[in-house]
Amino acid sequence: MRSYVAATIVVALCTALNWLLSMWLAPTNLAMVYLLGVVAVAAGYERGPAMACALLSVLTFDFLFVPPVLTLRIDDTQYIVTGLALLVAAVVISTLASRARAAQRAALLAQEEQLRNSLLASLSHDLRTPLAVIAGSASSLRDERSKLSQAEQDQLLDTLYEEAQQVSVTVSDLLEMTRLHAGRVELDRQWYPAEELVGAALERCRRQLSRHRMQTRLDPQLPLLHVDGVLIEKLLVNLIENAGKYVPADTLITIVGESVPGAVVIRVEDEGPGLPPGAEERVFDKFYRADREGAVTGSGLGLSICRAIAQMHGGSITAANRASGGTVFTLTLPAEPPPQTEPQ
Amino acid sequence: MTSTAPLVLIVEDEPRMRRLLRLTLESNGMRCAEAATAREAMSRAQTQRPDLIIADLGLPDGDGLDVIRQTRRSSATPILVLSARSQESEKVAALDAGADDYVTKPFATGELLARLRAALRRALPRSPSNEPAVFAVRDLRVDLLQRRITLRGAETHLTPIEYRLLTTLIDKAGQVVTHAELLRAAWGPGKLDQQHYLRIYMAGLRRKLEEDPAQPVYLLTETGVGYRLIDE
Repeated sequence: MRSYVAATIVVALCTALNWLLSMWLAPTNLAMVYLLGVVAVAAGYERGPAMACALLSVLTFDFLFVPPVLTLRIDDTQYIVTGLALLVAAVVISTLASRARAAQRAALLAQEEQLRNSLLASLSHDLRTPLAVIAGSASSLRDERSKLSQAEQDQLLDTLYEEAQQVSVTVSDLLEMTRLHAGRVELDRQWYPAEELVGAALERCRRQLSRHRMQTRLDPQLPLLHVDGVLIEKLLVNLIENAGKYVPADTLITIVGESVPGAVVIRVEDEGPGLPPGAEERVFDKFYRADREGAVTGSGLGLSICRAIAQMHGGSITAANRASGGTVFTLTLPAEPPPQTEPQ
Repeated sequence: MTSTAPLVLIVEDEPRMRRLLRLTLESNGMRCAEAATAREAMSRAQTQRPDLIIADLGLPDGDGLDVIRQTRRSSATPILVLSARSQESEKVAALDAGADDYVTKPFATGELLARLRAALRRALPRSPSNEPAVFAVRDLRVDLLQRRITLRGAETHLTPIEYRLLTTLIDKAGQVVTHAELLRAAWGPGKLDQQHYLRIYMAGLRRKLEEDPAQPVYLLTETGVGYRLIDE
């Protein structure tokens, strides 16, 4: 219904314009103005409103501008051609436009399909590989224990534990991503010192990062952040773990917190090998991995979860290579006026 | 620990998880009882009088929260909840219902045992004579009678609110203390919705007690739930 109203408004606008132009232009040229209106409606709406717009245009044109004026009579046959041309243009353009819209929808569906396929491919890789390793290690321990040295047994046990953790991470990342993308997550915003969130994230990564050197440099003047603490902690954990995975042991990882006008910036900097050229944006794609060969494990979802969380907060996250070597991830969160606090 | 091995009631509907927990606990010198449903859990809690209950919240015949509330009505037996990550509201609900602490699945055995020890220690009967007068962990020493705090031998001064927060955490050392409990302890019931007060004062406390407040060693944050003071 709204599209028909829009079509009528377009015809009214064209008529108003033509009424001004009719002092200078011959009626045939005024038909061009109606044609423009018909093209616009045909491109924007379905065929029905386009045809209505064309018919209404022809009638208005005939009634107001074709001599004898203020009748629907047409004395000059050339205006019949003009009217027909308007109708044909409406049909052709609305057909083309709806075809283009259908193609767009199909492309979107194909994109979703591709995403689903890569999700399945990634799932089967990310779950099957660790599960195969778990089953293999466990059966070795059960059936071959007498042939294995103590060191070999310990190694298998470590593998079992790590791979099981891996499956757990993959599954919870998938759930988290699904939850975030379903749009059902409501932010539980509270006021947090950045220091507390960074500290909590580091505590959760302590095991994985026991062989790295961690350093924090947070501006003591940082304002409180009005964020969902659980989600921002998750974001920071993902960033820190990501740095830990891609840099060699004993590399320095620094977390910097700074205040800039209107925003708080938290950066995770490492001194590792840096990102492959051109990957600065792609690292945030679902299932992107810098290391395809699989030496580095992960769900491939960690950074896309980071981006989803940052965007939910009205912030942003970017990746770059540092001039001095290594990677830097920059999280920018909008600063808000802090809450009132009374003195103690 | 008491002279007899403590009895732990495992409330969990997954037989494999029950078996894992039993194996872990028994190899660490504890005795175990098992319950697969909420009803069974409540009757065993009555008849066997366990020293501690480990409860999964998802049970086939009812909410684990009901088990916690029921148990709390008649006893102070410490209750440890098994919970999944990213379900902070569920953890808070369990703690509000009377649970003492939680362990996030999947858990490492060391973490589970540390939580168990903290809960059992706190459940020991107290009297003025055995009330600990000094809390000491790593380089931190708090003399609760003289209200003296020393860090690596040097005395540190806290504001009254900081001291109330610290003693509330010491009272449950090793266990999580929710935002609501800490707010109530430090400011009374009037400011329960003002979590940022608590965060600002905790930040102040960390600045005095931690070498790097952004990498705390003593005062750990359980985001979305509360804080935990380490005890070992």
